[in-house]
Amino acid sequence: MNKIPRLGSGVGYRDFWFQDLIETKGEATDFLEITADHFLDAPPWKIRELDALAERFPLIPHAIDLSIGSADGLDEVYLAKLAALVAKINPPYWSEHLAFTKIGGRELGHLAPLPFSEEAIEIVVKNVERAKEFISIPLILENITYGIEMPGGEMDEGTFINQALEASDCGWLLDVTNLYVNSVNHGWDPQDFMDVAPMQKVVQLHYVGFSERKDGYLIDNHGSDVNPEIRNLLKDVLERSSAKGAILERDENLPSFDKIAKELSLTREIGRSIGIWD
Amino acid sequence: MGLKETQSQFVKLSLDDFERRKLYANRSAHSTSSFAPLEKEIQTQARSLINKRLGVVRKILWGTNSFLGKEFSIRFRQFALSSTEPKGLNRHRLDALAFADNLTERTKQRAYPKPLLELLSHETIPVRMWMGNRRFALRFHKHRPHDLYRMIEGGECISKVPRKPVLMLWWQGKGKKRGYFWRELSPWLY
Repeated sequence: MNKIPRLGSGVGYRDFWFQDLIETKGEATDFLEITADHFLDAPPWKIRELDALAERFPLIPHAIDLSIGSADGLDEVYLAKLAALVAKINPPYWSEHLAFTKIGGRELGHLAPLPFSEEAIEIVVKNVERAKEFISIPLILENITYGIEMPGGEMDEGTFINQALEASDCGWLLDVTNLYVNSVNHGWDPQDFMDVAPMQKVVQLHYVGFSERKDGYLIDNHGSDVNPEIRNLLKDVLERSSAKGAILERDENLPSFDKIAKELSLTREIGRSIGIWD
Repeated sequence: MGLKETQSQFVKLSLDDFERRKLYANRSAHSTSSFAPLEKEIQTQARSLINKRLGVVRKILWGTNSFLGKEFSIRFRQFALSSTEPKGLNRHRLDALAFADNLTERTKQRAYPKPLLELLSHETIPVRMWMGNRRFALRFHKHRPHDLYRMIEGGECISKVPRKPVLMLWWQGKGKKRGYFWRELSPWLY
């Protein structure tokens, strides 16, 4: 993980911004994260889009459906396609979620939490080992939001992430919004969480705004501007970790790229003020 | 209960309305499932999964969604509860195609104005081209898609769309062109 270069302030690629990125506004982002699944089994024009991005930006592939926590192992057809994409891009690392999306041939179509248990850690380790046989570059795993605590938990989330990353030798993609949303929805303090969690393993960050239901429950809808609470926590996280880069992860209500560029600039300034990015 | 069983039960309860009813209606079965005390969370999870599917399908069939309004969401939720969840990398595309088929059947049964058939066909072409990696597609329509979209945007009922036969040519972008493109070929346009 130490060999991973500093990446800075970037954005999750959405094709809505393609022209902006390819033209002059591209200089606003230091790197891009691409959703790997959008380019698997894709037609030629979509692959040309990827090539055009790869010519201009460092790209980090972010997978969403490998299901690294599935107790019945990995979907190796998906894994082989993912490995081919990663080989084509040649990034310094790739990322997935500390979660599961499928089991027994059925697919949720959504990230589901693992129980915070020893058995889940063993499964993650086994699946990561298999994934490494296909993709040898470092893997970083992301903490997700969860509305339900999966039965069978034996420890808190911070300890679980710590032990799972340590045992699987993976880095951490710390999603700041997920951390904040979980802390409010499950009633704990993000600072306490960071005391237990493996901050030294953080490689990259995700952040975006959240929405709030009438009952106070927070939703990481990936469609809101970055809230002040997230911006503050992002600063705390950057001060306590040595993240190589941060990705603004906007999927819905996509604003103009000018607005995105301003958000990226604010994040870059935080990283520079702390002295972790150039 | 081991992890595999926990995950299988969770997926089953999240996706299958029948399984949820069985567990939460039958109080005596509660002691056998660790999800029994989590009814509220499971129901929320199930609803949010369907809403997520609806959100994506709405974007693919955006003209149909604009035309049907609230009916689109109501029909989709009914469809999602009674159909098998889609799988694989093309799950959202498959979902959109299956729902379009469902609406097509209902249109044939006169639930909606007949020109909706052509709108559904028009809106699913790019999806079919992506999935089949097809470079070209040809479709014959009795009504111009432009007219359908214009009427929908104007809040008019598409049952009154003028009959203007048109041959639709679709193609995949080449070079710097991204996506799918279409042109209408019809004497009505000249």
